[in-house]
Amino acid sequence: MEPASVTPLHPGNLWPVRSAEADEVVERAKRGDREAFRELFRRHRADVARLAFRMLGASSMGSSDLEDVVQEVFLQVHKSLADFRGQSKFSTWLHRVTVNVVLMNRRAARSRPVFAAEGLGDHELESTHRPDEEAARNQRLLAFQRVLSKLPEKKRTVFVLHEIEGLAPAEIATMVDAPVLTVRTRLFYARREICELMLDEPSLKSLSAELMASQSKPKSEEDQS
Amino acid sequence: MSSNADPRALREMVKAAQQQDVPELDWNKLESKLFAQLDGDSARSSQGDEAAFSPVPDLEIETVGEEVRPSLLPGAVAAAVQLSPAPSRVSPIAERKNRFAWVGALAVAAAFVAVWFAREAPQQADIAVVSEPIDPMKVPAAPGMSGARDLAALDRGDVVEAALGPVAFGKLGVLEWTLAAGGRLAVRQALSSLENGVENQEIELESGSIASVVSAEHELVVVAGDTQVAMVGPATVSITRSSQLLVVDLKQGSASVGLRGDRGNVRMLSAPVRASFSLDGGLKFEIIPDAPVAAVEPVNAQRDVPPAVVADTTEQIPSEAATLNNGKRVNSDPLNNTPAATPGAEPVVAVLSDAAVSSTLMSCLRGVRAKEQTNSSADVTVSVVSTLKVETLADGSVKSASFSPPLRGDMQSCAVFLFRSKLSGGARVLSVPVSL
Repeated sequence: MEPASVTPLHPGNLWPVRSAEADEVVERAKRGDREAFRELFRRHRADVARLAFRMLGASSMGSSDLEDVVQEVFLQVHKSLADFRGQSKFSTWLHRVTVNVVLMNRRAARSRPVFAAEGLGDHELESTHRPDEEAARNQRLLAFQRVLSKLPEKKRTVFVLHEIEGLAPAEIATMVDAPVLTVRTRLFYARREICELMLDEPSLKSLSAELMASQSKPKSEEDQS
Repeated sequence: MSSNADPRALREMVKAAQQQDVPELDWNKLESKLFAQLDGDSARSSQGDEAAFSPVPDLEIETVGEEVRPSLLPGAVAAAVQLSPAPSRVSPIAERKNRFAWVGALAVAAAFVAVWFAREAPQQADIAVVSEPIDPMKVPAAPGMSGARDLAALDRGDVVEAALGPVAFGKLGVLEWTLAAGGRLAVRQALSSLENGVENQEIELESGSIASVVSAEHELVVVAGDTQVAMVGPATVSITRSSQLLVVDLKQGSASVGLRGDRGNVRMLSAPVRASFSLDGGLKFEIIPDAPVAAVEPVNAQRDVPPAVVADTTEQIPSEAATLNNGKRVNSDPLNNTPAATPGAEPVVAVLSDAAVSSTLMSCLRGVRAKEQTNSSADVTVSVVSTLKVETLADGSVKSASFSPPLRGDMQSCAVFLFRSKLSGGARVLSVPVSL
C-alpha cells in the first residue's frame, strides 16, 4: 500500500493529505464516476472556499459570490480532471484551478463599480468606534484587505498563497508558472509594499505603532535597571 | 520615522487573516447546482456524435514540467476562466494527439488543429470543429410560420450550419432567427420557458450572420467568443461575427452587450444603432456610422474592415431613447478611461428615460433570477422587492445608486449600466420600484 504523503503543514495550510484512498477517488472521478466526483467535491469544497475567500478578499464579496466561485472551480475541475495525471498532488492542481478562477473573477469584477449595501459599508464600520477587541480586529482585517487589494495581482497571489495559505514557493511556482526565484522576489516586494501601504491605513498604522512602543518599552526598562 | 510599518504588524495581520472565518455556505444547494449543471453538460455531450469529444474540450491541458496545467485553447467556447496567469501557450500538436489518443481520433485531432491554425483570431470557437451540424430539413416546419423550421425542436448542443443557403428557425409569436448562408451556430440553451410564459434561447454564433426578430417579452441571447448580446423583445437585430469583431445592428428594441454569462456588467444599446464589439466581452466597442453592415467581411475573410469613425456628430445624436449615439465613436471602456481613438472626440454616454431605466433594470433582474432558477433544483419561488434610488447630477450623470433594501450582489450589478449613462431631467433622485 502506498504510504500517505503529507503536505508540509503551516498554520494556514489545511489542505488534505494525499493518500492512496484519495488517489483512488481521483482516479474514479477521472473515469467519469459521478459519485467519486461528488466525494471529491465534498472533501475539497471547504478548502476551495477558504482559498477563494482569502484571495478575493473578505470585504469584497458576499457568500453568493463565493458560492459562484466555488461552483466555477469545480466545473473547471470536472472539465479537465481527465487530464490530471497524478504526478503531483491533486491539491496542488486544485489550488491552481482555484487560483486561476479567482483571478478571472477578480479581473471581471474590476471593471464593475461596487455597490455598497446600505448600512454595511466598510466606512461605516470604520467610523464606528467600538471599544471591544472584536470590532478592532474586524476593522484591521478590513483595512488589511484593502491593502492587499492594492497590490498588483501577481504579488498579491503569491503573498496570499505563501503567507496566508502557507504554501511553499516551489509549489506556488508550479501554480503560477513562474520560476521559484521569481516567486521569492514577488514575495519580497509584496511584503515591502504591504508594509508601506499599511501606514496609509490608520488602524494598521496604530497597530504598528503599538508594537513599536511595546518593543521599546522593555528595552528602556532594561536600561533603567 | 520609518516609512514602513513594523514587520510584526504584518505578521499579526497575516495571522488574523489566517484565523478569519470563511462564510458558511449552503453546501447542499451548491452541490445541487453544480451537479445539475454537470448533468446539463453531459446531456449536451451525449447529443454529439463520436467526433464530439466528451466532454467538449473547451478546456485543454498543457504540460508544464511534471504536471499538467489547464489552459484555454484560443477561442474556447464555454470556459470563462483562463487557467494561467501567463498568456496561454499553444500546445504542441504531438501532445494534443497523445492527449486524445484514447478517442482513437487522430484524424479528428488533425482536423481540429488544421482548422485552428486556419483561423486568424484566437477567440474563435472550437466547438464548431468537433460538432456535426444537424440537417435542418429533418427538423419539422415551425407551426404557423412559412419557411422556418421549428425552433422548439432544437436542443442544447445542436449545431446549425447554413452551408447551402440561409436557414430559418422560429416559433410563432416568440422568436425567429435566420442564419445567413455560410454561417454556423450552436444552441447553448434550448428554447425554454421562464416565468409568465416568457421563453428564451441562447445560441453561440460561431461564424457568419444571424438576423432575428424577438417578440415582446421573450428573450434571445447570442454569444460569440466571450461577448454576449441579450435582447428582450420586441427587438429586431442582425448580428455578424467577423474574425475579431461582433457587429450588432439593432433595428428595433434594446439589447445589452457584455461578458458572456454576466448580465450585470453590460452596455445597453437602443435601436436604431449599429456597433461593433470585441470578442473579449465587448471591452472594446465602437459605434458604426451609416456604412452598410455588409462592409464587415465574413469570418472567412482575410481581414476585418474597421468600423468607420465620424469625427463630429453633434447633429447626429439621436433621441433620448438611444443609449449610445449612433454615428459617434466612444471610449472603449469609460471605466478604464481608455482613450478614444478619435482625437478630440468627446466620450458619448447614453441618455436614458425613466422608463428605459426601469425596463433595463427589470430585464436584467429577470435574467439573473431566471438563471438562478435554472440552476437550482429547489422548487422554491423567491420574491424580490426593493427600490433603486438613483441620484443624478445636473448634467444627468449618475452620482449614486443604491437598492433599499439591498439586494444580492449579482442583482445589484444589474444597475451598473447607469454609470455608463445619463438620465434625463437634471439633478434629482429617481426611485425605481423593483418587484419580481
